[in-house]
Amino acid sequence: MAFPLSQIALSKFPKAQIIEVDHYKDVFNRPKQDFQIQKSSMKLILAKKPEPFLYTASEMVQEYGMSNVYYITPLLNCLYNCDYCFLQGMYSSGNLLVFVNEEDFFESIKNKLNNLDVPTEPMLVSISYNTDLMAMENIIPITSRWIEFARNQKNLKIEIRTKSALFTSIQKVAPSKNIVLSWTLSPQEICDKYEATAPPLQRRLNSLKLALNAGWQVRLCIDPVLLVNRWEEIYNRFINDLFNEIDGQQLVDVTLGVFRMNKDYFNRIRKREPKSDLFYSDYDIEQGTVIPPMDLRKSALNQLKNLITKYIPKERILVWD
Amino acid sequence: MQCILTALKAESQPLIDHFKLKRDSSFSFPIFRNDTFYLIALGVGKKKIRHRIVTLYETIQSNNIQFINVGIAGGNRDSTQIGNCYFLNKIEDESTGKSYYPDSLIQHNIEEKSLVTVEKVVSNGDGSYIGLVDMEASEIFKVCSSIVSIHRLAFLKIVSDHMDIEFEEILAQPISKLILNQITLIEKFLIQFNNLAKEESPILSKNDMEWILKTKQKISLTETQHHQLLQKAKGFRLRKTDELFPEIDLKLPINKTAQKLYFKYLCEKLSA
Repeated sequence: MAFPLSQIALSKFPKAQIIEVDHYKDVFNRPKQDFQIQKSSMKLILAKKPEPFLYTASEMVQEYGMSNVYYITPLLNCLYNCDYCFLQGMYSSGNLLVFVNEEDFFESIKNKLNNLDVPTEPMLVSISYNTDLMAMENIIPITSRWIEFARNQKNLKIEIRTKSALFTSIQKVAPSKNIVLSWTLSPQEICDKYEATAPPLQRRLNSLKLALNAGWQVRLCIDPVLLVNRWEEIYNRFINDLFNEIDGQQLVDVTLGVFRMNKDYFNRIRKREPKSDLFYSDYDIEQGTVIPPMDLRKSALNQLKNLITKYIPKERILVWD
Repeated sequence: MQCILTALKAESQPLIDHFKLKRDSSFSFPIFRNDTFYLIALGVGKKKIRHRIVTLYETIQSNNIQFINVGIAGGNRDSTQIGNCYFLNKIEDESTGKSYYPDSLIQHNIEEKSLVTVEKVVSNGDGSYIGLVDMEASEIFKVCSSIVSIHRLAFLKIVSDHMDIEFEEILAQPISKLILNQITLIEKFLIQFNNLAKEESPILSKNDMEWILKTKQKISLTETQHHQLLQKAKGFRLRKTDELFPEIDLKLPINKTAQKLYFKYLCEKLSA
């Protein structure tokens, strides 16, 4: 409770019922929980994370051709509840778990920076792999604290990926060349049906534009692309509309990828009978990953990539295919 | 379906009367029921809990049963009031040191407390326990969570004493009256809790399942095909809530190839 992040979180919920727990795993990891039911009334778990603090990035994460790619988990689970999210297959709990010992995370990165596998390349760390940090910024300001930490490190790049409309929560923080803010945007039809708890497209886009105007390095993520009925029409219109509003040249890059998920997570989710048609569509399994059939996805991603090259050089379009 | 779990007869009786439950004599121990509720009288302490709960569960085989423990508890004099009802958010078993955490998933106006389950009546424990004490909750949690998901468990405790009287004196308390005084609150909670169960309704209706069974029999689906058809049917139902499943051609199929083709045709129809 003595950690600054604990104090901040507790101050945000003065009327909260506080339950003392011996170890966070006694609650978060216990069996027989219902992820989706818990999402309807999420609880905030504050805990001190034991080692390890730094993980080598999964193959699911786009690596952008870099060697020193890692992720860390300052927070497990997400305020949003997108239909396609792998977290519902990864964790048995739908509650939010914040690790308050941020200094341990910072220290682990400092240590790794001194001992990189490929010292000539920068170290890339995703800090929002298992969550959407910016969405939580008004509750617990982890994003801004990580930006301040990263600003002073040499050879470090941090990616903060979000669907949040809360750029205003870090608006007073000066941009840093060590930070890339990445917004995941989807066509409004997709937002309505599969991302119902996340902000609508226009609000995310407004946040992205504010970040660009403030001088931040911004990545645009169109990932996952969902190959629903009429996907061509939906995504073509979306991309054209999008680049009418933003100057593609200002973006660091654009990433594209179709819906894909670790097979075990996918099966675990489907066993619980999720109320999303995504889990009852046709997929292939490639190297342990559930993914749309190769022909279909390659052709879809090519088509979308070609469209995006009207707005941004193709070298800056990164495709997970 | 909800199943109320009580220890003492004095706890059960007001609930039996209020919900108009009738004894089900097909069980060898006290079980009462109506169309909505079961009530199991568990007796005092942990001894009979597993047998009675598991017996009922295996007999009725309800997929979405909720277990609600309603009963009296001793309470800390400074933090609880005799007659007040509390929702448990933490249950510690004193003998094992293990803690259990019921999910608090519905909006309720019942004050939350932690409780320690003890082996013997605490008659001189005033001030020794910060919240509540009882003799069953940890075992109920342990047994029920081994058969259903945690979100289907809830614990409501009404304070009968401040841990300063003997067991006989506790029994001499107007326990039924304590429960009866909270019956409106308990009933409201049960209704809200039951609404949570409705969120778990399956994607496919009874009619949908009948269509799948009929299809399986008509065209002799293999187990794999049956599983595939189920998945397709769920996707179809989520996309088209009001549409009927495709008509099955009763003349088909005769041989394996025709069966495969027909199955493919059905899957395409369901994916459209």
